[in-house]
Amino acid sequence: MIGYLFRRLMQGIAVLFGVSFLTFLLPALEKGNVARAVLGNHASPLELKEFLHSHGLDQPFFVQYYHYMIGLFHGNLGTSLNPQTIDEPVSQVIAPYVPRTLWLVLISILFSTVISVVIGLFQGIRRNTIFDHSMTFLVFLLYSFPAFLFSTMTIILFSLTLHWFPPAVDSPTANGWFSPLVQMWNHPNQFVLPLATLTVLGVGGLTRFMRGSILDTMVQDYVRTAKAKGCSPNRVLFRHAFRNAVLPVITILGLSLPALFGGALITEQVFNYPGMGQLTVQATEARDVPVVMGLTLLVTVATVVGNLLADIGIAVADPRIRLTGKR
Amino acid sequence: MTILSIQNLRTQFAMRAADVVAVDDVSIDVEAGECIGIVGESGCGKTTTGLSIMRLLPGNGKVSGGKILLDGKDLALLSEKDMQGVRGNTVALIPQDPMTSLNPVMRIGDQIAEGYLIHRGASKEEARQRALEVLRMVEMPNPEERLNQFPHELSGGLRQRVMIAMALVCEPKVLIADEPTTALDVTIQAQILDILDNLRVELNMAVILITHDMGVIASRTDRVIVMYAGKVVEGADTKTLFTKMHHPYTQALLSSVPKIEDVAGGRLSSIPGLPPDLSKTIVGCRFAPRCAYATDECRENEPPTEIAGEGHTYACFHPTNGFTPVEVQINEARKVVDAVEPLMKVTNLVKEFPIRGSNIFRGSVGKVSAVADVNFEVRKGETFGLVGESGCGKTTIGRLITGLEEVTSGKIEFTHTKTDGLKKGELRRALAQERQMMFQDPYASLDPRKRVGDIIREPLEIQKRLSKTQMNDRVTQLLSEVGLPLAAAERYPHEFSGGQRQRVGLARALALEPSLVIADEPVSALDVSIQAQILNLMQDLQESRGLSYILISHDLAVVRYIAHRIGVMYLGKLVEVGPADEVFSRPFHHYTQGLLNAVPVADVEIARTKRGDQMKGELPSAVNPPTGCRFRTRCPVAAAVCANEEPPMVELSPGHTAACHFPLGGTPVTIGSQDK
Repeated sequence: MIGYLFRRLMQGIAVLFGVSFLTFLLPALEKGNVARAVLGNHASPLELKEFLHSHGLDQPFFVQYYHYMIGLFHGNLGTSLNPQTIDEPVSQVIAPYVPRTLWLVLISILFSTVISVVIGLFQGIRRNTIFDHSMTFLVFLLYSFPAFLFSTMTIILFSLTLHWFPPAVDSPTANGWFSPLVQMWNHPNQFVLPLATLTVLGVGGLTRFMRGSILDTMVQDYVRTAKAKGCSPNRVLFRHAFRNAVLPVITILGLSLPALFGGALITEQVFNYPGMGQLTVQATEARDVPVVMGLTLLVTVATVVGNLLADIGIAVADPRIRLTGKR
Repeated sequence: MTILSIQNLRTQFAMRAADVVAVDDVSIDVEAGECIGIVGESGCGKTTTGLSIMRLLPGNGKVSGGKILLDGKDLALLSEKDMQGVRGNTVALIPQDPMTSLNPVMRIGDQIAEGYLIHRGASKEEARQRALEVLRMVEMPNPEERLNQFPHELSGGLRQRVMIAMALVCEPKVLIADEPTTALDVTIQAQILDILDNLRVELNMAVILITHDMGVIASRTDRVIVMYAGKVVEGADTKTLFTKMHHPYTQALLSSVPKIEDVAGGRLSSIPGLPPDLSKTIVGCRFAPRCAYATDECRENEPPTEIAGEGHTYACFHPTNGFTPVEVQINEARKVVDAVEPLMKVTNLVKEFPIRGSNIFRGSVGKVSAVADVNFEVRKGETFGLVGESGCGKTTIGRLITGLEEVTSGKIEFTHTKTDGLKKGELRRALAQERQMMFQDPYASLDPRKRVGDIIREPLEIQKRLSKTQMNDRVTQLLSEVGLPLAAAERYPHEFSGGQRQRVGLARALALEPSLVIADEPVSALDVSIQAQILNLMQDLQESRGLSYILISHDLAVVRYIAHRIGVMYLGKLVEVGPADEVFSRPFHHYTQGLLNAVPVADVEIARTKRGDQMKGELPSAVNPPTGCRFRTRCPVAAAVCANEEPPMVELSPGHTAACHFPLGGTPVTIGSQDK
């Protein structure tokens, strides 16, 4: 199993290399535009040339990439081009925003997993009942709502009309790894709407998946074997079917990570929560290419790590992988 | 003492179009300690009968009439909760496929112990002890170790032992075994059936053995129920049924079984047509449309169940009495085999599959020796049968000859096609005209999105040698040759039955007019009556086209029936090659003998005399095959020399070779005798 996980890790690292190259490729090929974007339309050719030189953008492509990669290995992602944070290291600019989004995403994954597994499970065993049909309808409705519409509507309904929850999150006062958790603990009502939005984003697909998975599992021969042994319906479901049905869900969870970061981008903007999503929007508007590159790389890392965690989860839950190292 | 009495059972399934009555007015009495067989083609309701007793029908099925009396209590009246107390406790089930019937994420010990925990209220430790005890009862090697293993760590045969252990854990009074050995090799089948037999006597259980295999029925059951289209058509004690059957269906079913003890290759009698569609109302006798004796009376009225004698019932207006002597047609194709012109030659063929390690870099940590130094030739116009247990390499040889796998070393040469100097594409096209493959599973091997005509036409299009009209003519001609209507060309595979699809598969294989067709288990997915149709068709085509076949099969009776020469494989090695009749009647190799002993024979007299002496153990791993003779670990006469020296292939009688240090001496062996 160690070998299996090590191979997965190596594959993840290879993916990181690939993505780092691609993120580097875009601005490097568009270096003239980058300079113009930062200096403005009225900059003189000399100013543009100086800018390119001072940022090392006039060097040959592979030399630039070499310096970029060397920098990466030293944790140096370049410096910001945003006038407000000009010349600050990218890592320093990004750092405070990471834990905020991370916790938001992790907690919403937890919620959406629990909700999806429970709803999907009951839909599966009560197939074609009114419960199943209404849940299918509801889930598809939520699934097809875009995040910006859903979050705006929750604000209109729950904060502006009903005044149950505030429409925005207060600006964080601390920048520690766990300070977002502390903030959530202290002001839970501020986080209900953003968390609900992100959770709903994940629930749609996962519920459908879990329903299908449990339906597939319930017609397997080993489930009939369990019934033939005299197991009660609950025992059949929870001792025999459930674990087999959840296995594929673990993989899907790992794959759903990037979508949630994408969702966070909009949700944070709507609820004015200063996370990675909001930073991405700011950096893009300010043509702060190094920060956007850094953020992209970070989301890639999160995706790779998420998939690795899913692989570990499967390896623990499925003896066929645990013992043989392959399927 | 009657332990289980099924009276007028009626089970139906709610389908979109109409309700299908899958089991109609079925009555069966089962005595304690007896083994009763239920036999019939797929769709006849035998499995549904079993599941009705257990009340394990799929969601759209329900028992809609009749009684199921267990010890005098009607199971149909029990609440679902009370029924849970019956399942696995007084009535247990052994399902067909041990590969899919065990929970893959639960340890063997826990799965076996579960029933004991539920029904006996035992403690965890007691249940574990009990699990160990039943594993010993089913003669599981290393039972203590098995408790903590997961299903994927065991072979099919061992998994079926686990299934039996699981069923026996509460010592049920009735055991329903639904095709318990269909997925297993003959040698393992014999072991499993022996275990079931012994335990039935030991525990005085009633066993309901559901099977399509007449050989298993003949050798293992006390009484037989023959089902057709949801009805019981005949019931009798096993011996009477096999010798003095009254129902034409029983007769037809028994005649269509290829028999391993047949010497001459008589033509198999097949049952024309297909079983009726049960979603439609059926008037008259259900078998009438396929029956040779049917009259207007049969087509208008349903025959009542008559009593012929002690425990012998049948439902027919025109009962037969035993086999009517069928005129034996000597098979012409089989006689032509004096032709000795070689068509294809395999020399020193080796195929090894690397095993990727589970270590960090997945380097090759060993190899599976799938085919090890095999030599044989196939002659023009003959059928060469390849037999052996699963994992012996017979399918790999077929795939190597067809070019679906690349050889590790060795040569495959066709007499009429020179392959030297051809480019890859040319070689592929040239060889495609020499050999084609007919696949095992007619349901999976035809593209569901292509019309049958297009499936047959595709090889012709790749060759680009014929004009459009010529191709259409060829397709039309092929369809009529394999006995399909011309309209079939415009239809999709799912519109056809299994037998018809296998005809399409054969037509596709013949499209390029190859000289050799490699048929890998061509009939193993089909019912016997349909199987006979396909085998007869294959023979007809051989005769009219001068085709050669390599027939790969685990079913020795099928191979015996159709093959002229036979190669017996064991663990990657060809151990014996010779004329079919000789290999079967006077085998030289102990493995061939062991295989023959394991085959259940569809004849009560012979079947009863050959029980008891079976090959022990399972096929060893091909990763580290035994040194010297690979069969020595299971051989009854193995000596020191067998471990040290690999026996060479020696011609022991004209055209009959074997690789054994102590050959059986070619003394005539009547099937079933146990002289070694």
